[in-house]
Amino acid sequence: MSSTAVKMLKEKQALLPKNSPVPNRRILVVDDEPDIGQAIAQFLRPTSKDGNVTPVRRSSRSAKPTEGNVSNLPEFDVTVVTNPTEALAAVQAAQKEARPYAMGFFDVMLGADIDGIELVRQIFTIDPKMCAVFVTAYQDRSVDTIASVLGEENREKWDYMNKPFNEGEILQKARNSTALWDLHRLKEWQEERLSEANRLLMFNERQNTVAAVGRSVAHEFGNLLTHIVGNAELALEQGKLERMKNALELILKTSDTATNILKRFRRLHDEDEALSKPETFDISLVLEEAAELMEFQFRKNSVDLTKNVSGHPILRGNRHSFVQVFVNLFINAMHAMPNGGQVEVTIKTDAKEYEIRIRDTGTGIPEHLLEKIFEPMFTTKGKNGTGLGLSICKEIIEIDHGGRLVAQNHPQGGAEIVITVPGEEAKS
Amino acid sequence: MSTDKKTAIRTSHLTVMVVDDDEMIRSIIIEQLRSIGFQKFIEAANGTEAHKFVLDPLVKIDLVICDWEMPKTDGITFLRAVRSHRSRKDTPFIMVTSQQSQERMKITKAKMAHVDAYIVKPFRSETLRQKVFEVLFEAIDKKVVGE
Repeated sequence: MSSTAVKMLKEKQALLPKNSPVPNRRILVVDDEPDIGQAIAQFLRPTSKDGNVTPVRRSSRSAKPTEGNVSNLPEFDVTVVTNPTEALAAVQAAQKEARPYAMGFFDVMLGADIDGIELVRQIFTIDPKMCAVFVTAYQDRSVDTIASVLGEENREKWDYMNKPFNEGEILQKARNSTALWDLHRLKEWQEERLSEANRLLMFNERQNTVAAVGRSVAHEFGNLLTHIVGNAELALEQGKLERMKNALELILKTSDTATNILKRFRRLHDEDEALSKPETFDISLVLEEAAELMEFQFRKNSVDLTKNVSGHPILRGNRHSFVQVFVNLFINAMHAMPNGGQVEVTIKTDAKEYEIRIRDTGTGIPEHLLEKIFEPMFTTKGKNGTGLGLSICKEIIEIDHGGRLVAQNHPQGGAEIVITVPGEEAKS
Repeated sequence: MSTDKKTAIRTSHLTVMVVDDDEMIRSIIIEQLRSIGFQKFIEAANGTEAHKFVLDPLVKIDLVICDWEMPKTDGITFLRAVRSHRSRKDTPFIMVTSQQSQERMKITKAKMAHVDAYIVKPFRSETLRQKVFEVLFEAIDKKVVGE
């Protein structure tokens, strides 16, 4: 891998969130009766010595919890307000400071123009991550009523309890709700890490493709520079005007070839393009681009490429990944034919789907490996393979483009990769 | 390398086989050698073509300059074929490769197959000529190439 690639990889790794989310113990208490609000806070605040769980001995056998267990539990940070306006302001301020509330206890009858349920509905629009526990003395609002106000999407975020409550109930609801908040954040964090790890894997694999093509580009440049240096030196040595003119023409022609190779290679290497938004492209042009990238290696390895394209396979997707798929499959086909052979690409189009067949004339794939070759880390190339090429090709086709990629052995010999992708009409 | 020795080689009598699938590179090498007196050349586009000449007892080959990566039979395979040929096994052989760092490993492999010298692309004509004289002097000392 080039030093630039290593640098890019390090930068990307630095983006990975290293620390798991910090547990959130912030609680908001909303009750129009200040005494009740304070009572709830009292139960939750660790400073109130007698506010800790007072174990109710239900039987003589139930052991008294040790002080150690209780003090190990996290401390809550409680805010008490008496009306919806203060509550909304507190939630907004907490959001602004990036110190959100994990949960809140909400009285239903607040004696204001909106009740506790509507307040929570509004809070969810400000902070969709917060959890709520309704505390009500009246049975006038059934859980179904609350559910219909808050909506299906919020059903996991609220709970319900009746007055009068006891200390244990309040503490347990607070612990459950804050634990739920923490659990959701942890899940989000893990998902973020997973998708970042996946992005890194894709990035590495692109770098592998780039490296494989890069080796052949370097080789080709060695030849082209030999043309340039050789012609320049010979013309200079001979000092004849005609030879010099001829040399300059050859040098310019060779430089054009080199410029084109470089342009194609840069395009393959371009990370911005690799991550670009979906675009509409012609698969046959993508095939052409991959074929040009492989032209030198194919020639050196006696591989003949034939292309049969019918119609105009126009597709919407990531053009760059499609080039990567072709290059990867071409490299595989080439490796399957150490003594050279044929690679035949057939693209058939109809309104519903496009079918791309890439067939080589190698020894084929042993039947028992036909499924296994798509498993990540599976490789037949020893330490020369990462075992990701085919699995990532499959991912690009199936996940990014909604198609299918399968491997089979051709009845007349050799391996065949069959890709089907939905055509434009099928998608619209 | 002394001038005496340089003049001692009658380059016009020697046949050089140039093997490369790139026609332009073949003609550059030939032109570079022609200007120092070589006159007889055999061209081949790959190891398979080159091998046919090796197998023909009527063909005289005094020096081989061969590219590494070629279609069909590559340079190292052709080198091994030459080294295992009864009467041609000592023929001076110069391997041409590209991209130094990547090829280092290959050069080690080539040494094991007894390559006499290697040249890395792109090369200057002076480098080519110097290597050609070096391997030819060594061959004369070992009486492989007759004067």
